[in-house]
Order: sequence, then C-alpha cells, then structure tokens
Amino acid sequence: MPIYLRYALNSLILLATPFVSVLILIWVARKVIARMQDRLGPNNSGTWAGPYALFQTLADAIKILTKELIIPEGADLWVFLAAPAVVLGSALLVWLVIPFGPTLQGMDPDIGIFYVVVITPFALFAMIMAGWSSRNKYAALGTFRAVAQIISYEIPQFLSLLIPIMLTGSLSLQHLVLAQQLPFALVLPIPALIYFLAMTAEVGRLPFEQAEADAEIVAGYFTEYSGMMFGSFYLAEFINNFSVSLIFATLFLGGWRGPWVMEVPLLGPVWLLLKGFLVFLVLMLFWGAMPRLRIDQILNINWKFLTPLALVMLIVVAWVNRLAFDQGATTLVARAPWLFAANLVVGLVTIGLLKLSSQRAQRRRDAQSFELLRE
Amino acid sequence: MGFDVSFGFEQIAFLLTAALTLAAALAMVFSRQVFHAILLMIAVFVGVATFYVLLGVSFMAGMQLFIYVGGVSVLAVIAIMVTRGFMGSDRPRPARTTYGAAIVAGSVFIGLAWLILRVPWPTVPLVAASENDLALLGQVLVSRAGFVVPFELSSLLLFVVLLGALYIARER
Repeated sequence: MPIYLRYALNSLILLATPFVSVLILIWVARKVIARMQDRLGPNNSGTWAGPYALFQTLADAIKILTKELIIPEGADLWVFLAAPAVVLGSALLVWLVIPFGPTLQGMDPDIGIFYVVVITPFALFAMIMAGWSSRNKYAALGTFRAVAQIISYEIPQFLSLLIPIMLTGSLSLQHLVLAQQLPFALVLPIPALIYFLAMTAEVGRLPFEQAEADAEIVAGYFTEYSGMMFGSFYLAEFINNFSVSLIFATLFLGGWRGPWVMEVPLLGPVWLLLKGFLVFLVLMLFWGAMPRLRIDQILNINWKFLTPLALVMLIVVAWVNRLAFDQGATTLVARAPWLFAANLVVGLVTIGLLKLSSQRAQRRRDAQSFELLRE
Repeated sequence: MGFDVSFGFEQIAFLLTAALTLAAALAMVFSRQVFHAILLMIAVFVGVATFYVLLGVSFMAGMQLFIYVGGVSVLAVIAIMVTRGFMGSDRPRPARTTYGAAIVAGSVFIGLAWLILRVPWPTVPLVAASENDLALLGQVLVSRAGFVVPFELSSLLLFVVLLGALYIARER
C-alpha cells in the first residue's frame, strides 16, 4: 500500500473513532443521569429507536441536521460561523497523540503531552469567538466565566502534569505509559486528584459548569447557536469529555497497559478505552450528583487550594524521588512506597490545615453573629 | 523518487503556509476591529508555529503556541473584556499614529532583512542532531557549562515583574 494511501486511511480512522464513540457515550451519559434522577432516560416506548434506544443519538443527530441555522442580526458573521468549526477541530486534534497501543498511535511527537497542553487554548478561543460574535448578553457572560475558569485551572493542571513527566523523564505519551509499572494514580494519588479536578474544570462539567450554567445564563457562550452549529458544540463537548478521560487514563491509570497486553497487542486499545470509559463515567456521575459552584468559589478553590497544593506536591515528589533514588530504589516499583508515603503525609497535613482554617472561619462567623446580637 | 515527492511536498507546504501567514498578518494590520485583529494575530502565530514544524523543531512550535496563543492572546482578550465594551461596537482606529507606526515597523523590517542577508550563515550544522534534542536542550539549560545563569536569571526577572505588577495593582 502506498504511504499516502495509508496516511489517508489512518486519518480517516482517527477522525471516525471520536464520532462513533461519542454517539455511544451520549447515550450512556443520558442513561446514567436519567437513572440517577429516577427516570428511564431514552427508551423505545415511542418511535422505535432500537433496543434500549441505542440509536436515539443517531436519530437526534439526523434530526438536528434538518434544523434551520439561525444567525442573529447583530452577529459578526465570519467569526460566528467559524467558532463551531474551531471548537470541533480543536476537540479532534487531541486524538492524534492518544496512544491506543504499543504501536497504535496516530503520531508520537517528541513533545508528546506538551502537544495536548498546547491544543487546550484553541477550545477556549472557540468559546471566546462564539461568545463575542453572538452579541448576546448571556453569551458574553458565559465567555467571561469560561476565560476566568479555564486559564486559572490550567495552572494546577500543568503543575500536576509535571509530576508524572518528572518521574518518567520524557514528554512522550508512549514513554509515559511504558514507565507506569504501577499506575501513577496509585503512586501519586494527590496529583492524580488535582489533575482530575482541573480537567473537570477544563471541560466545564459539574461542579465547575459555569460557562454553560443552563439554569442561569441559558447556554452560556453558545446560546445563539441552532441546528448543526449547536450540534457541533454539543459533539465537541462530549468528544472533549472523552478525550480528557483518555488522557487521564494514559497519564495516571497506565494507559494501554493491562493483563496479557504483551501477548495479545489488540488488548491495548480495549484496556485504554475501558479505563477512559470509567473516568468518563465518573465525570457523568459528577454531572448527575453535584451542585454547581459559584464562580468565586471555583476561583478560590483553584488559587487558594489546588495551585499551592500542586506546587507543594511538585517539590515534595521531586525531593522524595531523589532521596529514594539515593537510597538505592532505582525502579518505580521500589520508589512507590516512598512516594505514596509522601503523598499520604502531604494529604494528612492538608486535611489538618483545612480543618484548622474551617474552625477559624467558624469562630469568625460566631464572633460576627455575637457582635450583631449585641447591637 | 520518494525523496523528490517529499521535497515537493515540503516546498508546497512552506509556500502555502507563508502565503496564509502573510495574508493573515496583512489582514490583521488593516482590520478595523480589535477583536478581529486578535483572531488574525492568532492565525499568524499558528502560521509561524507551522514553520517550526516544517523545520522539524516541534518543541519550538509548541512553545510558540503555548506562549503566544495560550498566554499573550488570551491576555489581549482579557484586556479587551475588562476595558472596552466586550459586546459594544468598536470605533475605527485613530489614524494619527498610523504613519509613525508604519515608519518604525518598516525600518525594523529593513534592518532585520539587511542583517539576515549580511550574516554569513553556517551551511553545516554546528552540533550534530541527536536522537532526542529535547533532553539535550534541557541539559544545556541547567548545566553549569551551559546556560544555567541566564536561565535562572530570566526566571528571577519574571518573578520581579510579577511582584511589580502586584505592587502596581494592589488596592491602597
């Protein structure tokens, strides 16, 4: 097969995978949330949508294609039309570097995970483009919130990302997977947790759903979009949810590693998709169960809690890792108890500090109410 | 044969990217709205990053996008958000400074072009390209024989800038 034909075929497969998986995942998300809210969710009671309404998403997708595209009168035409394309494109670009197996990867650039980091701002700019060009109050509000939230949460995300990179000594996603003789989530539970929270904020899922906040500002930055333009925002949202889940699985849950993967290489993508699916399921459970935090609470958690904690973790892990290395623990498995103990200590100290500060806040509140009573 | 094909592809890719980048740069300069100018500026940054990719230095491309798209452009958008009406219509730019800016930009361009043409560029690489340039770069940046002093000094400079910004912005 000529090389160009192979490239074209691989690109087509890479492009098709997110869309196909998202068609299934939207159904999963709707079912999960419906069950949590004591509903049935999509079902085959009305028009026939397959067993368990499996084809509901496909039917919705076809229906949405027939809808009218409404362009608001004051909208900035080109930016308004470009935003859905940019958001979908940036959601798809990440899939290029996700390692599905030892050799099954679109591309393994030497900057690896840094590529994923670099792609993030484009989704933000798609939001800004949508929010600015719509000339809509709610869209602008959603954009303000999205910008404030996403650029803040990038910091703990990148800081916690540095820790697996530091332990691996490489940016390549393939090397990051190969280095995980133990999944990093077991060795580094706190960075994994910080990364998970920051990633939830990045894709704007509850409890960090401020950019959309459908109970407050209609649909946030894509309020004015209809038809398939709305559809592409919706699709991009789910593609992003799944791709960040896959990246989390790659970074912290061992990626394609799993039992018998060395004997049967085909198991690689199966393990990765299973792990990614589990992370995605947790995101959906959050969606169904969590209340929405206020924007000031979101930013406070980030700047006063997650960022300092991530910085402390970076320093502590660097130090303990070196100490363990000097003590003769040359493999990750040998250093794992050291690193885990360090995580445990930092975690306990953090919980203690949080308890102390909450007690102080409670005392301050008590003192204030006492003052009010005296007046 | 295969070499010829890839050579042709690189040439076409370079010319296309150059044309698009130049077009975006011109459109940015002549655009009437600040927000359009920012979006076109991002297009220029992406074009420059594409040059780096074509030259085979993906780390530089990543840095270009990380700093200029993820940092500078976002900052510009925030500046617009907090100063002008984000939703209001923009006024045309003041024409008073256009000619002065054109003269400055033109003289910088001519100076740089003169410099680039004049410098005797080495035709053979100074350092043989290794398997993993990124690791080499990292070692050079933090080794005592390399650039550890400028590297740390630049971080100190950034820290001072941060403190200065905080001092100016703090509430009195």
